[in-house]
Amino acid sequence: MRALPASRWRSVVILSMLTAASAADARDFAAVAEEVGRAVPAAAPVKLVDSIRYGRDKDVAKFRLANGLTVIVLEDHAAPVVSYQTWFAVGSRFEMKGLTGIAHLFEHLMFKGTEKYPHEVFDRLLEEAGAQVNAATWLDWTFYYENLPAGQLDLAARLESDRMVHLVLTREQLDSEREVVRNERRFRVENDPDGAMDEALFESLFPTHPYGMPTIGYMADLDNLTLDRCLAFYRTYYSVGNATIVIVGDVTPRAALETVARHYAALPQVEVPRPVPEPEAEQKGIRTRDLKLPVATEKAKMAWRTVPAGHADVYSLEVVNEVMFATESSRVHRILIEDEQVASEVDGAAEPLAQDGIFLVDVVMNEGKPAAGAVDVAIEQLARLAADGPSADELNRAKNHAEAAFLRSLATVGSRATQLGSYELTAGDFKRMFRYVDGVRAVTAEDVRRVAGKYLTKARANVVFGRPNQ
Amino acid sequence: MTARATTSAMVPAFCLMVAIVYSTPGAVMAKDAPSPKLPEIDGVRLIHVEDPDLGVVAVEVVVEAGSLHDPPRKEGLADLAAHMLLRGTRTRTYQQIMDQVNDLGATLDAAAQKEFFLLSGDFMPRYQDRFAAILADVLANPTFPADEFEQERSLAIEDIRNVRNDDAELARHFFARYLYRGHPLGRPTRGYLSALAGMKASDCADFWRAHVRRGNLVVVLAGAIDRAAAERFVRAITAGVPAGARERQDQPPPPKPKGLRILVVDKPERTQTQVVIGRPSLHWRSPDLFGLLVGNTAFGGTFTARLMREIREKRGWSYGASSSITAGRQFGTQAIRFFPANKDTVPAIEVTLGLLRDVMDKGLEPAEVEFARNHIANQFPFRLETARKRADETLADVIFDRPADFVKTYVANVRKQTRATVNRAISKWYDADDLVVTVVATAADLVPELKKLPGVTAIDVVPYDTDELPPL
Repeated sequence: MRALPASRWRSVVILSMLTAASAADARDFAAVAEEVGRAVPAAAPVKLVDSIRYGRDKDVAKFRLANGLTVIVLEDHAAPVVSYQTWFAVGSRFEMKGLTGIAHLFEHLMFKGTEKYPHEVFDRLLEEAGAQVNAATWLDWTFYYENLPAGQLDLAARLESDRMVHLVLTREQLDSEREVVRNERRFRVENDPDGAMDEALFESLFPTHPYGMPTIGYMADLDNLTLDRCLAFYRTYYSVGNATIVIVGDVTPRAALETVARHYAALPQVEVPRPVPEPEAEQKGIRTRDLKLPVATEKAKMAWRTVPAGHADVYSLEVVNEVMFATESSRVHRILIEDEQVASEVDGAAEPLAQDGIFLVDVVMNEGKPAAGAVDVAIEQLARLAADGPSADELNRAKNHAEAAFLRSLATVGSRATQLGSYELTAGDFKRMFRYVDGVRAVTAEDVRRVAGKYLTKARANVVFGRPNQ
Repeated sequence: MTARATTSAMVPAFCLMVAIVYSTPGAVMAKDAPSPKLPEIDGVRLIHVEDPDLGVVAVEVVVEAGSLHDPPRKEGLADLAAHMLLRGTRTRTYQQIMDQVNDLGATLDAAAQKEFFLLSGDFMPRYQDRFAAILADVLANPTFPADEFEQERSLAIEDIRNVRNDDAELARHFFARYLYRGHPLGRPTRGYLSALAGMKASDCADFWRAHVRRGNLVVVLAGAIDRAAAERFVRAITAGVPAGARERQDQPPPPKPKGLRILVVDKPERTQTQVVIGRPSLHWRSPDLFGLLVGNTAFGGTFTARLMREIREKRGWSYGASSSITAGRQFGTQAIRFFPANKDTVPAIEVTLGLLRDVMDKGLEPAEVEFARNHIANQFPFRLETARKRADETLADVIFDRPADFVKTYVANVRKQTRATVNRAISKWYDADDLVVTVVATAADLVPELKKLPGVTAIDVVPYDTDELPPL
């Protein structure tokens, strides 16, 4: 499904907490890399690629093994747990028409076993060790995670390195899992009004770019995903050079890196195609779609294309969302829910992707109230923001929210690892996670005015209405 | 984003805080084991866990009066009253409260659960005093203005309507109501449309007056706040709260299902159904709790559990399949969930009933018991991973009257379970004949097949947008 991970994943950072890693720290990490290279010669040379310090005493370091595997480590001994995540730079935007859903189906198939660890043994070993195990697929990436008790890192590395190259698949497994995915699609799209509307919204936003195709795949396409195609997908995209291991928790960088080096050093580097689709053409007029759905009241979803994760305007767009949609104090939220009392839910999200960006707005109307009116209000208020900009209070509020949201997002080893992986894969640099709050803090009223007028206009809007079918 | 699947070995007994269903082992957790004693600040109980690295402070002001305290024909009052606390005070309007909270980058929300209602949120330490001033005002000086009451009631009504958009939520909602029909446990926290229509702002004011008292409050503070600051915060926010004792209200035992009682929630155009099968289960102090925890984990709590293997892995019938046990202070609930395509629904129910019969007849294998024991014990560090989780475990001790050493002895109690204790707990608390089944589906597609299931004693069909259940 096209879930909207932006609001959950939007992470932020406090610049006041952030300092560049000192030269001494960088040298320490360089020494770690050298030591690991000596301890595991097959992985050498192990290089320190980058590092950063945040908070009072936390460091994040990024290393690369000789075979191209990237490893990001954040040491934190607050609790005796560790998160081990394997991110592959392949998501549904790498798919072709008629073969949608293969990245996600393959994510399921990765749990089907290897010669050494047959089906269920992988899960059984990890579950018995106390691990939380799962995976997720989105437009730009697929990732697999194990949150483990400290001391079980080796188990995760051993199993993940094994299935990165030794997966065994049968036609029976594929058929069974395809049925599971069909059920997942029924669950997330066909029997879920939000899922159906999200799918239509992305199709409208990206008529030609593969971002417009559903990650879960079209039902008809799932039948086209043969065993040969799945195996070809595996051989093409699942290899060390296309993977980033993120480790967060109760482990030293030295121990984490050496564990990874021991298990992955022998894996071969494979050349990975990195297709760059043509950018979507500039939209010239509002696009709307009507869906008749079993909803209690009318709903509307709106979206605009914005900018990729590495673009400077992501911070200003985040502030626009705060000022307009995100909280009880936001303008559109307040107008529709409290002043006019025509809606029960208003939310927004600014979600940058690797090659583009999306600004999303979601409205649930009260009984008998037309969603078209809410869309008009949102467009009118965005135009007003583009003309007049935010007040000083609104700007300050948005910045405090960004800072608090970042701090909240650091609570667990799993959430920190997920953010590091997401930034590395979408923005191309995990350090941007730690620049978010400073980026937001630097936004001016003029920036907000400018991005609202540039990206969030009526002519660039995409709207999907969900109307009761009874 | 799509994920591989969902399982839930045990679900939180209340969603805003931790609380999983685990309880006392036979010998160790005696029924009269002492409850935890919390420090009190001017008569208000405090749970405080400091983590200076966190940067934010999570706060929960828990009032031990929830939907179980709703008066007859005023179902939903606890929840509505909780929300109304934010709808205006003697010196602040709703919008001013929200603007001031948002100015700080803080959050503040209200909700009710069965045993309590709470105000919860978080704030950055530099804004502690400003946040405390808002919270103090909300707790002590709410005015329950009539126009704001109309708006809050309208939002509550829309919330109830919006559940109809979500089949999984709809199934959970009707399952609880059907299982506990006529019992307070069957009340939806948000209430009924008919009950909300008859409520007045003064009902909320009465509820607040009756229950917001020092002895009935627990304040939870977790994160970047030291002990002295925590105590200062509690004093500040409860300065205007009157004295008064803690409340405890026991409920009569819920009815037990006889035969297979099926409720079909009829929704048009479904290509997939949402199925919940279950029955009443044990409470936190049950001597069978750890045995059932281990047994239920092996049966339906992980990706490799029996239920997941048979429903998803072997047959591909459902994206997820799980069995959860949610314990309360007096009673608990077992709920088995899956969501197959229409054609696979009745076969999936039959397989599930067969699995229940099989595990009750033959018990779990030694390897399954050992696996589940290790899984639960080794996962324990995650229950205490953050300051918030640690605080919420203590809160669960208090709300659910768990023994004071519950968390400390948890792993030992899991490890202590044997195949015999586990299978005994399963045979006592599982059932394959007397169950409630709720299915959200297009009824015409399914009812004729459901009728063929052995042991069916009732099939009720209700439209998905109803607020009423058939009479008992």
